[in-house]
Amino acid sequence: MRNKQKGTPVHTRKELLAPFKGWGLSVRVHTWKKELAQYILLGIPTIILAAYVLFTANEYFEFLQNNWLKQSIAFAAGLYGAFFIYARRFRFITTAAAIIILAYIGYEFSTNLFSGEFDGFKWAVKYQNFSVLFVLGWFAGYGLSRTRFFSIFWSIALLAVMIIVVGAISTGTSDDIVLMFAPILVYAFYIIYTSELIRNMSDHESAFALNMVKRMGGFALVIFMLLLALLAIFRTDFDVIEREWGAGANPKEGEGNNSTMTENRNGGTGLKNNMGLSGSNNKANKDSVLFVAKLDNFFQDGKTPNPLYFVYDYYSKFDTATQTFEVDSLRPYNDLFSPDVAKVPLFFTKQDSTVLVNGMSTKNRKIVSAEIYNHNLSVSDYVAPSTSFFLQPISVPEENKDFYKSAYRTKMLVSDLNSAYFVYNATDDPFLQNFQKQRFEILRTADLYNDVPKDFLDYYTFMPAGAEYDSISNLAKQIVQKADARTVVDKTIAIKDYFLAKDEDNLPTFKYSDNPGVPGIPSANKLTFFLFENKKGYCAYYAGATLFLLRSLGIPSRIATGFLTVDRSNKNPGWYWFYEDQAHAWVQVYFPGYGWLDFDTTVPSQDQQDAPQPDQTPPLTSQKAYLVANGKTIDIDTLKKQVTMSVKEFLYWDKRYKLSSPEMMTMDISIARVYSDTGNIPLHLLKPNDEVVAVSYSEVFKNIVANPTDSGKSILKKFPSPAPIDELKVMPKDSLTKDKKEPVGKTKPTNWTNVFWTVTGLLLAALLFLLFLPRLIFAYYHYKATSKQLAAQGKWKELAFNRYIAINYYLNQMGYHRANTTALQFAQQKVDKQFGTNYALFLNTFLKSKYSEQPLNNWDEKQIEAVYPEVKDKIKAGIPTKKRFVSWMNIYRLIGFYTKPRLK
Amino acid sequence: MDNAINMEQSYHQLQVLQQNIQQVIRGKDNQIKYILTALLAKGHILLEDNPGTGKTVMAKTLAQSIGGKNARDTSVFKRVQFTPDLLPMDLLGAHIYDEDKKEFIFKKGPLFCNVLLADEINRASPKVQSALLECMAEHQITSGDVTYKLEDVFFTIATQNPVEMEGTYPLPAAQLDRFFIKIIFGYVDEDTELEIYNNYLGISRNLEQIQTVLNIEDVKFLQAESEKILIHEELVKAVRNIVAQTRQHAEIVLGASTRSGITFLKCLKAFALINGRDYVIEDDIALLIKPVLDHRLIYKNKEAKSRVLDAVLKVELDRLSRLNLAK
Repeated sequence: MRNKQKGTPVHTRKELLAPFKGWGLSVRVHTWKKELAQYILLGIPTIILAAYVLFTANEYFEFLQNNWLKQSIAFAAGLYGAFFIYARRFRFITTAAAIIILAYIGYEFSTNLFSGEFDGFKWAVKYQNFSVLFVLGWFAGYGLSRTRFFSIFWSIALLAVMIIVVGAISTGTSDDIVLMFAPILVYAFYIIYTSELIRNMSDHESAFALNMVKRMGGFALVIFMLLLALLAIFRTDFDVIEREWGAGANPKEGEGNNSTMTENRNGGTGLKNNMGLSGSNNKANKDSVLFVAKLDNFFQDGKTPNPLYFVYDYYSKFDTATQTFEVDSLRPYNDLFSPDVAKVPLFFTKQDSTVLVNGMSTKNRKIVSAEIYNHNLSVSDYVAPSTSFFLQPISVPEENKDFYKSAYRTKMLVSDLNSAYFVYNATDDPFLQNFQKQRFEILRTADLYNDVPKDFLDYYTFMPAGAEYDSISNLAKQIVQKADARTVVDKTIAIKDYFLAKDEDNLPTFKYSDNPGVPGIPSANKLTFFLFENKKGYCAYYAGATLFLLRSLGIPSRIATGFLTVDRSNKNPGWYWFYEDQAHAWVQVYFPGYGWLDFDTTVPSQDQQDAPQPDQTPPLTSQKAYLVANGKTIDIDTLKKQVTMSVKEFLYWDKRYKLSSPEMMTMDISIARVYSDTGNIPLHLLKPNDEVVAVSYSEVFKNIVANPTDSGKSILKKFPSPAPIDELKVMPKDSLTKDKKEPVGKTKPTNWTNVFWTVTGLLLAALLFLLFLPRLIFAYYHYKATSKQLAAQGKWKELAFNRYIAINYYLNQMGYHRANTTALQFAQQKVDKQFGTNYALFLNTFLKSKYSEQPLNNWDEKQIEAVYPEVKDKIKAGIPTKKRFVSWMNIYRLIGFYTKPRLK
Repeated sequence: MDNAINMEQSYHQLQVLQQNIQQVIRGKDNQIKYILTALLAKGHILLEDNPGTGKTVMAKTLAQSIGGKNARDTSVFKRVQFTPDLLPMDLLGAHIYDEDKKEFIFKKGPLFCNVLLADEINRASPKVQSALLECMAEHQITSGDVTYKLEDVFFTIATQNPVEMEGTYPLPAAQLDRFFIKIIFGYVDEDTELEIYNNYLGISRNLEQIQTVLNIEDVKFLQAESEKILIHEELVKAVRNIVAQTRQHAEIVLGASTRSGITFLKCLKAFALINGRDYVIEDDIALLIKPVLDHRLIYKNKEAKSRVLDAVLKVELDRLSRLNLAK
């Protein structure tokens, strides 16, 4: 009765829908449960992800016109439309063709609607975007609804889109990358799993929703764990990528804030790569000492100090695309020595002589040393007059330790002709004026650029094309012509004089201003604005303008950033104090033979000269360190105040000894100061395996005689144990100091070919394993089926089962499925008939052994014994080798063997 | 009671019986087995097919093969042709007045027999059908105050024409349940049919001369033997699962009852004995599931009827084929 009642409405509905049969409404492809699952489980995540991709893409691609919400809605409409249509019995080709034709007609119609060309164009672009997204959504909907494996292609396509989007983005921090790719990856896993799940799920199952939730929950858990693991494993790789990308991206101007002093690292002021170029100095604290330097550079009289500008970095390249000056690590003849000070152990040295060769200067050279006492610079940062090539961190004298964080000694090859006295430090001193005259005379005799390598010249005289640059170029020609300057140095002086010229009212035409009204980067149009209209600016404006003026005249030049040096006091000749507002940018000009010389064309700032910035008492010179040992702590005894360290290398009387294998040294640190770059460290915080440098000024070491023949090991043996130590400096861990200044070229690049081969190899291995898996599993069953032990022990029943499974597995893998029949029927009707085996006889015995309690008799045992290799071999002989070979690799049959049928 | 099975004797007797029937009924070995299964399981059987496929001959042959209490007797075989005007009385019997003895005596109807052929059962009115089916279940007839026991061995072979044919009263599902097994008798295959045509005289002679090979006691013995057949607990579980599945399945309106399950088990045992085994195997389930269960279930539609039981069986067979009972 129930049957009838239920049947009736179905019947009438069918009848009602009969006229629409051709429309496909009458018969569904998916039941409403599946359709609903598609709407919710496939539709919503896909739309969210599409919205995310569109949102991200809109930020970077102009043609999308920043309308991500509406675009997402267009996509969603397409997707849900397709879900709805293809859950019913519609054909894809006809419907898709209809959609495309409709879209085209709509396009044609609407473009005719607009009379204005611009309106028409704008509409066309918009319409294209929306219709393309709608159609895309439609295809996605069809694929997810009807096509198998579509989800895989779909995920790959989305990933490709995301890669393009990410590629267009310049800020590549690891967090960004994770943020971009994680959703896609999660989605990819999700959609592949879920679409297949929905497809394969039987909706006749009473607990459709429950099963769905259960499986999805399990899946979510797995994915979550997987992602966590991936993040944990690849975190370091991400950071490498971040560094690579970051190094390329950060020097670009205009991204940072306006202050030259940025980024408080390790408690000090770090120097940003673009220091001096962007923004004004007005935020810099005049009274804040950054560092103090003692520079042993004197004029030929031997007593008049000759200050030099302290260089931090060079800006040699102008990026025409971004209109910014860039630090270019790939510049030819790189002569920048830029070590991480914090990473060089105390009193150990680091030097690089290639920078001297790259400096390309031979004439009037001398080696000058300097000591820099750092008060508020980052401990990693390195500044020195050009061209420096040597670094030795030294300890700060006991009395000055409260003020100076660290100190280093440095050496550089400087030119006699170089000096900070050029424009900014212009002086009335006749001695210095005489020096200026002399050096200009010498430079006038400098060679022309004929012998300079072409790539060098091309690189340093590169100037972008364009009207604005032409106007700069014309100005340069005018200036030179007016001054009748013939030589390079005269041309440079002419440019200097141009900036210093005074108008009719005896007022300077160019003024110094920290706030020239145009913030940020001195790009080309800002520079022309500065040169021809505003005529106010800070050092970066003058340096930038001078650079283009010089380069337009064919003079190789570059912008240097660092600190201008001011000689304020006569009390301590050679000592210079550097305040925050001395951060500076100027131009270096290359003279063949004489190398790079500093030329500062910035007009004097009134504030600067008014500022009372007194020199203070210089720090004392450090004591003589007899022993400096570098190594790792092994054991720390806080009670006895003893530390055992394994010494890698040590300095004794300034001589460096490298040990082939680390040696143990016990140290008495009862009077020692234990510290790191950030300050004193309590002894209990010292951990084993810390990298430390131990320094001793103790007289004990003074008197130990070291023969020239002594090896490092034998000298170490002569030291008292425990050795008295005065200073113990803990070196920073690698992870703490990021070597930001390290140029791109020096970071170890990811070897993509290696990655490619590794990934390919792993994939191939996985594939091979998968292909051989069926055979491997059979080997296991075969082993169990041929077990002699079972027969010997009389475990016939077990043996029978093993053989039954082995033969079944073999048959299944070869493509003979039991299907709906019982094992016995299968054997009688198929196997025995086709292969001439006696499999059914064995099965009778097997079934007896399985379901009966009777002991097996001799006949049964014979059957079991006879069946195994024989039946298998007969089957094997009955199948051609080629077919067998292919069959062994059929992973689907393997899966089929283990999957249990479900009620539908 | 003796639990050991006299396999040899049972199997021999069954072989003889089958061969005896096969002399007359050609090409119906499976159907013969099913009929014997119902007989041994103390149940009844419903044959469904068009007229002229050999149902009646089959029933007759079986009846003649089984002897009465004495070796010489044949068992009592009755045949009732069901028609729309048949009354329950015509089956059960009636009290009639005996002129000589001056009292009412009970005139036994055709139900008092060993093998009853109820021909075209769906032609009779439901009233008659009910009366018959009730007797089949109760093994007794109550008329007035007196209850009359039927024979110990009472086996009904009912035949029915396909329901679609005109002038029929389809049996209600609840009553179909009384039949242990329902099979479609079917036509024989072409070769056998040709052989029958060539030899129909011989065959009808065979029917006349059919030997009595078993007596009622033998049948009782076989029925007792079939109860002793071993059925493994996993197979009992399989029957439980199958029955449960039919109740839960979305395309079955009315699932199998517990009584169906018990019937299934009885039939499995009998079937195993007929096949010469003293234990049930999974093949028995595969072969019996449709004859035993199909007519008890009400499906949502015809399509479901054709595949649901196959699917249920497949799941269960798959489970059984994986089982390792050796450990």
